[in-house]
Amino acid sequence: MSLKTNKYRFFSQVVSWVSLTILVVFAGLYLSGAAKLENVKAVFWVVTIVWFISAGLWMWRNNSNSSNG
Amino acid sequence: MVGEGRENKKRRTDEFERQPVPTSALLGFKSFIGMYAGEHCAGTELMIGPLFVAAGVSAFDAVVGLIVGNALAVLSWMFLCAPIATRSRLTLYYQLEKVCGKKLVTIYNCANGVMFCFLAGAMITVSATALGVWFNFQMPGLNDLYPNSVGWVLAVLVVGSLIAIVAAYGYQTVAKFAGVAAPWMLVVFLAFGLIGLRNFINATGAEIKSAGDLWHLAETHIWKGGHPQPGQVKFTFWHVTFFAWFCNMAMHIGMSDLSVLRFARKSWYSVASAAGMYLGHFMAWLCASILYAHQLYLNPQDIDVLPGPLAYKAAGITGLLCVIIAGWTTANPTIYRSGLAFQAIMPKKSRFAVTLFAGGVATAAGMFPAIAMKLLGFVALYGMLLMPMGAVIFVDFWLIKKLGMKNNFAEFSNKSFNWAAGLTWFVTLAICWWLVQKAGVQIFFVSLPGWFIAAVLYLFLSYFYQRYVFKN
Repeated sequence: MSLKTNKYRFFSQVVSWVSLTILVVFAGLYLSGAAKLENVKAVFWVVTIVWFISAGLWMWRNNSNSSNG
Repeated sequence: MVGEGRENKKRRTDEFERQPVPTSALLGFKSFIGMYAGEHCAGTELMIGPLFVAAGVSAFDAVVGLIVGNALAVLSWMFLCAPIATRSRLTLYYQLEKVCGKKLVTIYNCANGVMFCFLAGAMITVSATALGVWFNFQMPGLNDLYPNSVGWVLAVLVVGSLIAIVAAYGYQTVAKFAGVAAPWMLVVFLAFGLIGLRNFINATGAEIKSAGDLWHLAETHIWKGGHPQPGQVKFTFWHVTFFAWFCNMAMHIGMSDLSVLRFARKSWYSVASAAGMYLGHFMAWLCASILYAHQLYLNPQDIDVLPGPLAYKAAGITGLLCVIIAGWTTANPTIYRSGLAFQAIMPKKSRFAVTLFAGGVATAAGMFPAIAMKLLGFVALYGMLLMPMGAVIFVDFWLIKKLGMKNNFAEFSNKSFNWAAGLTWFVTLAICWWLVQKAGVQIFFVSLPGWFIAAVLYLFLSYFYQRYVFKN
């Protein structure tokens, strides 16, 4: 059970950090002129949804543990 | 499981307002990084950055001024606030009560709670500008003082009510929410800057092949210097430095963050404030100012500072969401602090109730755009107002015993009003007011001499007041 939880946690951590990396990369692509702003905005929106779902899964729990002392 | 839940619930409603934080409740370094990064990467950054541009700041003054000013702010947290917080582990209000007495603290708490409410109101104002993009109601301009549409009032009411309810559930809930949102917000703020930069390159036709080219673009088009917008004060290097240093003066030099840093295991955890300063008060301010400078470049007549539309143009719905959440995560701890201030006045009322009350006041304040539009001056005023009591705590904690006097004098003498502290506060504010009004010292600078005046006054007045009390 614990192993399974750890796997989910690791998976959600990877997904959340990858999503933020994608956000920065696409902003960088726009800066370099390699992407259109409309496409970048669409990617941002998807990344935002992914971040709040995946990060919520592990960060909320993490913060609960630390608040328990 | 049930027992653990009850314990958590109890701890959420009993956050050691009138006792030192026990070892078991201390928090780790990461909690403070998340808290400071979230709190200082806020919706108001989307006001302050543009207001710098409106104040006619130049590229060198903006960049170097922020580096220096933020460093001074971090040092103030580390060497003035945190050492006391981690030794006494008391809230600001309880610490003040011991030094100043209950009646003086009541006055201080009223002032502090109201100022926190106004500040949170500005944050709610910022969040509400995002709703204006969705619902297309009339929004306030740069020089508006009063609410100018029903839609605006309703938007502030909705945003403010939600923020107040979350804040009422306490610091841990707030920290959790801010912790999840903070990394995403920081990245979105960075994206604002990168997108704004590209928009500038497209608009000006500049070719950027080196750092020198980028700096040239910054100097000639983004932070051009020159005259400020009508009604704005001209900002120089010193203005930027002192603004960055003192914009959170109430929290570091003014000691408000005693209430937060009392949870830190070690004093040096206060270095976590650098996360807030250099991500929020450097990167975010500069990125936000790029968006506004681009707006001015396209239409010099369009001087309104509206974070919602600015963010929407740059990043679409994600930008709007960022404005709302950024305002939310900053307003939350501010309303929480305000709740602590009011609870110190009414200790029998639950923190939940007083925080809801504070949230209500903040929401009402947020309906008036004057605070957000004059944020630079308001923040300086707010720091100045609370700074003298920071000096009183500092002197009382470190110096007064060494000079043969009693510290925590109100508690020692069972006085409800320590006249030495009270006169220090009022006389310092009077001198600062005189310096601003009559001697031509701008409000952005006056708090520095003000702190030293307060420190010396408190020592001087304590000497005579304690002698008087002992004689009688």
